[in-house]
Order: sequence, then structure tokens, then C-alpha cells
Amino acid sequence: MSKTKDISQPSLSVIILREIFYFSSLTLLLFIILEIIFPYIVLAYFNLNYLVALVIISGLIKLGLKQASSGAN
Amino acid sequence: MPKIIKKIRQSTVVKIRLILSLILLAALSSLILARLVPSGRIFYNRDFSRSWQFFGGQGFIGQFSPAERIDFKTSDYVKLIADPVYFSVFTPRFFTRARLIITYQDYLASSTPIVEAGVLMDKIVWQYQMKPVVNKILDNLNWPTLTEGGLTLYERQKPVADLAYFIQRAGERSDLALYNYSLLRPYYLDNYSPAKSTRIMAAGLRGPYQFYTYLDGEDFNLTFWFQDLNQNYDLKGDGVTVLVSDYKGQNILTRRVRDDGIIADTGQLSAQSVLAFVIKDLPRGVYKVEVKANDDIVTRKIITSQTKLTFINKLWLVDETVAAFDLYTNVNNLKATAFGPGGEQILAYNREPLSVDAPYQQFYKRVDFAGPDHLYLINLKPRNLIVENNGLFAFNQAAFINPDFKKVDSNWEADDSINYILSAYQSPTVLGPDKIAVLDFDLSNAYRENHKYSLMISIPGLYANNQARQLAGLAPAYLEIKEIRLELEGKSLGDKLKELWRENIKPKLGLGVKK
Repeated sequence: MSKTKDISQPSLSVIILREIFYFSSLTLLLFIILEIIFPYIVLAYFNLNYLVALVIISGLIKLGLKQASSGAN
Repeated sequence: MPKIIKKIRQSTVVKIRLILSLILLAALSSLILARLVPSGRIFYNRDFSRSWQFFGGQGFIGQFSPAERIDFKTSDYVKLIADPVYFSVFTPRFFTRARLIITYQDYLASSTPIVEAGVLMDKIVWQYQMKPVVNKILDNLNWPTLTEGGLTLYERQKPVADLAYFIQRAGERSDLALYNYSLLRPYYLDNYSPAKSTRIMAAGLRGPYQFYTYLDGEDFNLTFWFQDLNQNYDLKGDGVTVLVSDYKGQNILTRRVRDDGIIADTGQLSAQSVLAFVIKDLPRGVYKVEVKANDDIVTRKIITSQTKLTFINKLWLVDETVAAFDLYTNVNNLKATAFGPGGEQILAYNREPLSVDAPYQQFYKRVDFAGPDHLYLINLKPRNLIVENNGLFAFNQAAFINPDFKKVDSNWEADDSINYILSAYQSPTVLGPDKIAVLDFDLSNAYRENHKYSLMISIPGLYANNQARQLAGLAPAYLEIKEIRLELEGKSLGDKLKELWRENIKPKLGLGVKK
């Protein structure tokens, strides 16, 4: 029997990117809710645009890697 | 093998999620703590050489405005080239005290010896609690001094041994001037005769104003005729509050006139409403009347039997019934602003022309000092014109009264009548080319809107000085602000909880109630 690579398991980099995407999305949601309840509490310290950019970039890279692995399948 | 790899990957995901969750929790906790300020103390800092903040945050200390009074381009820091300038400070909660520390470099001319900063206390009357940043008049005064408990007495002549005793008897003195210090004193007029009938003492005043009046053996009676212009939209309405206080600042009477019910900017003139009161048997002396109203309210006339009526610092004149009239002021400087087209004119100030030739711009004039008790005549057309200075105004000479001590301000003219100056002023600390001024404010009654306190920096005379410098081809004088630090202090979380327990929970539980 020949050994076959288990291509259904994502690589570590994809896992990390996925977790970053989930984390940044959750953080963005929580910061927006916090900002609505207590205005300026987040914006005084942190520009939410950076977080939005992180969500978008991590999401796009995750999508790209997913498509690439689907294509390889 | 794949099962082992799957298990390893799952434990890696758990580890990653744990780390990210801890980071998120730490961030949320920090933000909540920054919002609550449980210790009751926090400070905010702004270095004006940096246009960016870590993590792109907007910071707590806002930028200076209006932009035309600021020069951002020719320096690493911020140059103030006209005054006053305003900035706001966002705070997540109320505080009771603030310490403002300003680091700056001084490139001002000798004609602008005073810089002050203040926090907004009342938005209707636009009243700021001002504190000195620097007073070069006092810094350069070569008089012996006596300092005790934050107060400094400058003595031209006979030295004083006991400052506390001096202050106790200071009300009797006519050779004392003050700076950044308030001294209450009873003020009486010799040879005063009350009037036997009422008359119109002032007319056509827009917005808020304050005045002194005097009583001696007579009733205190005032009748105001108010009218609402309804030119501005105001959700709170355009009510009027009149407050009367004695020389100690104690309130004697408060009266209110309600809004006419129109809050929109329809431009529809309301019917005139009358507010009248009579107070009998008041002790003789000076009384202060404060009319708190927004800019939509015009006082058509003030009728009283009091013969003294002197307005404090500012008048907005809108009387269309007269072509021109005379006004008197006790200081040798004047700022005039035409608030809208039609207000432009050439007015005469001490018989010298002051051209107000554009609306919404402030025009300034200083005339020769004619002595400490001189009244300077202003002849003007009361067409939407604002006149203001650091002195008093009266509609005729006989109505003038000045119960205040002389002040060592930007219009100070040294004269031999002053032998003592009492001030609560500390010179800024010099650190190389930089100067550091520390100012303490009481925020208990400060105005706060949308979580922001409003502050201002005032450099009286800077605008006029730079206009003259521009005409002479000179570079503008300026104050370069390098850094602002604001240290705030208020109730701690522990204090709040104790207060909650003491005032709300304990009484309900019946604890601590003696039977």
C-alpha cells in the first residue's frame, strides 16, 4: 500500500490565519458594541480601521488558500 | 498517523484560541478600567510634535481651533498667532479637579504680557474659569514681596508684617490691585441720593449680560422687557433666568421667563414678555444682576428707579430705535464686532475712530491712558454691534459705578495710586528654552457636553499686535505649545460605592437610624 497525503487536513498557516480572522472579527464586533455603549472608549486609544483591515486581509487570504487547496483536490 | 496529526492540530487550535482570548480579555478589561477610572485619578497627554498616535487612536486632548489662529506648518509644534484659541478634552467620566500643565516657548511681544488658560463653566454666558499661565507684569515688578499660603503681596511702600491681617482689612484700601484673586468688599457711595421715579436705563441688549447696581435707602426694583427673535433652533427653548446677588456673591433672587413655545428658527418675533420684581429692605451696597439668556433673546428695555447701572465686560447692542448713542467705559481698550451685515460702522472711541468694516471680525483699539478714574466715551450705532473689554460699560456717566478692585491685567497701566498688589500667581518654571506652567482648576461646576470639557488659551492683544506687525512687515509673534498634560482627579470607585451604600442602601435597610 502506498502512503497518501491526507489533503483534507489544513496546514498550520491556514489554521493560524483562520483563527486570526475569527479573533479579529469578534474583536471588531465587541469594540463596535463597546463604542456604541461608551462613546469614544475605543477610538481614543485605537483606530478601528486597522482592525477592519485585518479582518478583510485575513479573510481574503483564508479564502484564497481555501480555493487553492480545493483546486489541488 | 493522520489521527495523531489531527489531535496535534486540535491542541494547537485550542492553544491559539486560548492565547487570542486572553489578549481580547486583557484589551476589554483595560478599556473598561480606562472608562471607569477606579482610582479616581488619570492623566492625559498630548505632544504636539507628533501628528500620529500609537495604534492610531484619536487621543483625549483635541486640536486647537479656530484654524486661522493656529500655525501648524512652520514649526514642529503648534504656534498660537491670535487669540483666544479653544480645545476640548474628552473624559470618560466626571472629575472634580484638574491640573493643566502646559509646556511652551514664548515668542510674544512686550505688548502681550499675559497668557491665561481657562475651562468653560457656563455655555450660555460664555464664562470661563481663567487661571494665569504667565503674567510678565508681575514677573518684572521689582517690588518687595511677601508670600504666604499660595498668595503673594507685592509691596511698593510700607512692608506688611502679617498678610492675613492685611487681607482682613483689605476691603478698606483704595491703593490695592488684584491679580487672579477675588476679594469681596462692601462698597458704599458718599452723597448718594436715590431717584424718586423709574426710567429706562438701558435698551436693545441681545443675549446674556451682567451689571452692577447700587441701593441705599430704597426698594430694589427692576423691570425687564424681553423678546424672542427665534432665529436659532434650540431644543431646550429660549427661556431667560435673572439672578440677583449681593457683594458676597450670595443669591438673593432668581426669576425665570419661559420660552414662547417656538423652538424652531422661524424668525418669528415673539410678543414681549415682562419680568418685574421689587425687593424691599435690602441693606445698602452693590448688587449684581445676571441675565442668562441665549442669543435669540433681546432685552428691549430695562426700567428701574436705581440710578446706577454698570454693565460688565460685554454688550451686544441691537437698538433700532436710535440712530446713535453714547456709551462710557472705564478702560482704554475696546474690541468691536459687527454681528452681521448692517453692523459695519466707524465708531468713535475717546474721539478716535475705530473702523468696523466687515461683519463677524473683531476690531481692536487702544487709546492713551487718561488716569485710573477716567471714563472713555464711545459713540456708536447700536446695529447688531458687540463691544467688549476687560472693564465696565454704562449708558451715561452718572450711572457708572465700579466696585471692583483694580486688576493687573493686559491693560494694566502703572500709576502712583497703587501701592500693593495681591495675587495668587506662580511664575512658570523655566527649563532651558521651555517654560512649564501649572494651573489648577475646580471642575465641580464645569460645563461638560458629549463627555468633553472645553478649554481655552487667551493671550489678550495678540491678534491686534500681529495685525500691526503684519503691516510693518514683521513676522508674527506667537506662543509655541509643545505639550499639554491634564491630570484629573475625582471620586474613586471605593468612594462611589461608599456613597451609594450611605445614601441609597443604608437608609432603605434602616441601618444607622437611631430610635
